[in-house]
Amino acid sequence: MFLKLVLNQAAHKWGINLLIFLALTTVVSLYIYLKNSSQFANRSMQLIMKNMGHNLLLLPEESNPLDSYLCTNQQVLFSENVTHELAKHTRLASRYYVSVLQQKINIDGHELILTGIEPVPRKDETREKGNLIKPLKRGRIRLGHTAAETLNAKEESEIVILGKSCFVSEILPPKGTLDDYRIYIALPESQDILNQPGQINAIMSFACLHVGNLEQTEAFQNRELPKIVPGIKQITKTDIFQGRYLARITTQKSLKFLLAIVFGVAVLLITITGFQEVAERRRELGILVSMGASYFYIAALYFVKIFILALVSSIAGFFIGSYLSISLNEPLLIVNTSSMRILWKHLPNTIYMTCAIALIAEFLPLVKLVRMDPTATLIED
Amino acid sequence: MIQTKELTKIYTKSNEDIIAIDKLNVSINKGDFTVIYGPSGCGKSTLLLLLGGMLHPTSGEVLFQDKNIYSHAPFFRQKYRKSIVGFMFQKFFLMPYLTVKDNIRLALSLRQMNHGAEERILSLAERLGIKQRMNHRPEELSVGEQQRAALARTLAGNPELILADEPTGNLDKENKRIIAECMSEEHSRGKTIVLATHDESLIELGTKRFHLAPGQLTDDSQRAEQ
Repeated sequence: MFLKLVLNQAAHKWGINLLIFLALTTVVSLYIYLKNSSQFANRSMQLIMKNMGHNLLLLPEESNPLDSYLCTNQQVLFSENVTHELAKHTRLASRYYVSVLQQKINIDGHELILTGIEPVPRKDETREKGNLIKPLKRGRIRLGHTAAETLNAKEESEIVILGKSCFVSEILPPKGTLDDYRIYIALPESQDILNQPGQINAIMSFACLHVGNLEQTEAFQNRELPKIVPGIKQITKTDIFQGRYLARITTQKSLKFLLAIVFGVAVLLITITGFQEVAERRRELGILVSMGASYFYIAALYFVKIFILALVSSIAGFFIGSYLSISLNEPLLIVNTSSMRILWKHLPNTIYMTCAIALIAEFLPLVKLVRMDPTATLIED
Repeated sequence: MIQTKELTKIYTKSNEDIIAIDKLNVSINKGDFTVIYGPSGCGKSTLLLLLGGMLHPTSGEVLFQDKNIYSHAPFFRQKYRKSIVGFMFQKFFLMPYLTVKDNIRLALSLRQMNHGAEERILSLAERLGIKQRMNHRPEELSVGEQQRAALARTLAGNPELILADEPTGNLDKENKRIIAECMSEEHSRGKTIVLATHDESLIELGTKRFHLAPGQLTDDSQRAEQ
C-alpha cells in the first residue's frame, strides 16, 4: 500500500515530478558528459604531449648539457645499469626510461647522429600507455627524416654504418629538430659500433604529474633521485611538462566550477519545487495525520518518491551524458590508449551522487512539512 | 472514556485573539453518542480536533483514560489517533488519487490490519452501498457516495471513538438517512461517537446533547441510553 501511495501521489502531481526528474537528469547528463569529456580530453592531451617527446633528461652530475644537446664527443659516459636501478623504484615521478648512447658519426661525408636506444620499463607500466620509444631488434634501424633523405634510404633498404650492415625498419616523419638526423639502433649494437660496452651517455624519461604541479614534481624528484642514483642530475623540458600540467588543471578546474554551478542550480530548483509540493499537499498531511500516520511515515513517502526519481534520473542521465560525450567528442579527441566509451565505473557513484543531491534538496521542504500544522487545511476547508 | 478540563483554544489571526473554545469541561463515557450542535463558527470542528489529538489546546487538558494526551510525546497522540480514533469530515477528505477501495485499504494498512482486509472492505462497501464504485476515484463519485466512502474508511479501522464533523452537511435526504442509520448501528455496537452537527435529524440521535455557543458548551439534555 505504501508504494502504491507513493506512485499514485507522484502520478497525481506529475508536473512537479517531471520537473524534478528533468532537473536531475540534466545535472547527471551534464556531469557525465563533462567527466567523460574531460577524462578523454586529458588523455588526448597527454598523448599529444607525450608525442612531443621525453620531458626529462638524466645526465651525470659533471656533464655539460650542451655536449648532450649537440651530441659531441665530450659527453660523459656512465653505466647502463643506472637506468635499470631507476626502473626498480616505482615511487619516483619519472618513468618510461630510455637508455641512450648517442654520438655524431660521419657516413659518406654526411654528419648524422647514431643513437642507440633501449627502453627500460618500470614494473608498474601498463601496456595501455606504454613507452613512446619502441625497442629495435639487432640489425634493424629507424631513420630520422633527413637521415633517410641523406642516405637515400627506403624501408627495408640496407645501410652500412661504420662497417655494420643494417636494414631500415621505419622512416620517421619530419620533426624539424635534431631527431631528423638520428639513426636509431638497438643500444647493444651502438655500444659495439662505438666500442663502449655497457655504457650510455643519457637517460631520457617522462616525468608524470602524480606528485603535483611542476614545482612540486621537480622538488620531489630532486629530493628522491640522489637517494637512488647519486651523481645524476635531471633537466626538465619545461614547456612540455608545463603544457601537460596546464591542460590537466584547466579541464579539472573548469569541471569543478561548472559542476558546482550546475549542482547548486539543481538543488535550488528541487528545493523550490519541494516547497511548492509541500504547500500543495497540506491537505494530505492533515488527512494522513488524522488517520494515525506518523510523521516518519509521511516523510518516508516523500523520501521514497525522491529516491525513485533520483534513481531513474541517474540512470537516464548516465546514458544521455555518455552518449553525448562519445558522439560529440570522438571525432575530436585523438586517444590511442583506449577509445571513447561508456565508463561503467562511474555509474554507482553517479547514482549515489544523484540520490544525495535529491535528498539534500528535499531536506528543507521536509522540515517544513513536519513543522506544518496538520489541522490548518482541515479547519480552513 | 474521554474528558476535558478547562479546555481552551485561542487562535491568533492578524494580531487578534479569537477564542474558539473557552475553559470547556465535558465528560464522554464509553458507548455515549454525544451530539454537539451550534451555529457555524462556534468551535465544533476545533473541539473535535482537540478531542482527536490533532490540535494542541492553548490551555487545559484532554484526558483519555485519565491521561492528558497533550502532555505526552507526539508519538503517544499518533498512536491514539491510529488505534482509538476515527475521524469523519464534512468535506470527506478522501485521497483524490486513490480509488475508493484503496482509500479504505489505506486506513487498514496504517493500522496494520492487512489480514482479512479484502473481506472487511467488501463488507463495508456492501453495507454502505458503494460496492459498484470501489474502483472509481473520488472525483468520479457523487457527493453522497464520497461521504459514504469516507464513512467506510473511518469504520474500516474499527475505531473505539468516532469523531464526526458535520458528516451530513452536504448531503441529500437519502444519503443523510444512510449516514444516520450507520451511525446508530455503530453506536448500538458499543462505539463511542461524538458528532458535531446542526442537522436536526442527527441531533435527535444523541444520548448526550450539548449546545455550543461560541466557545461555551451547555449540557442541553441528557437521556439514558436505551
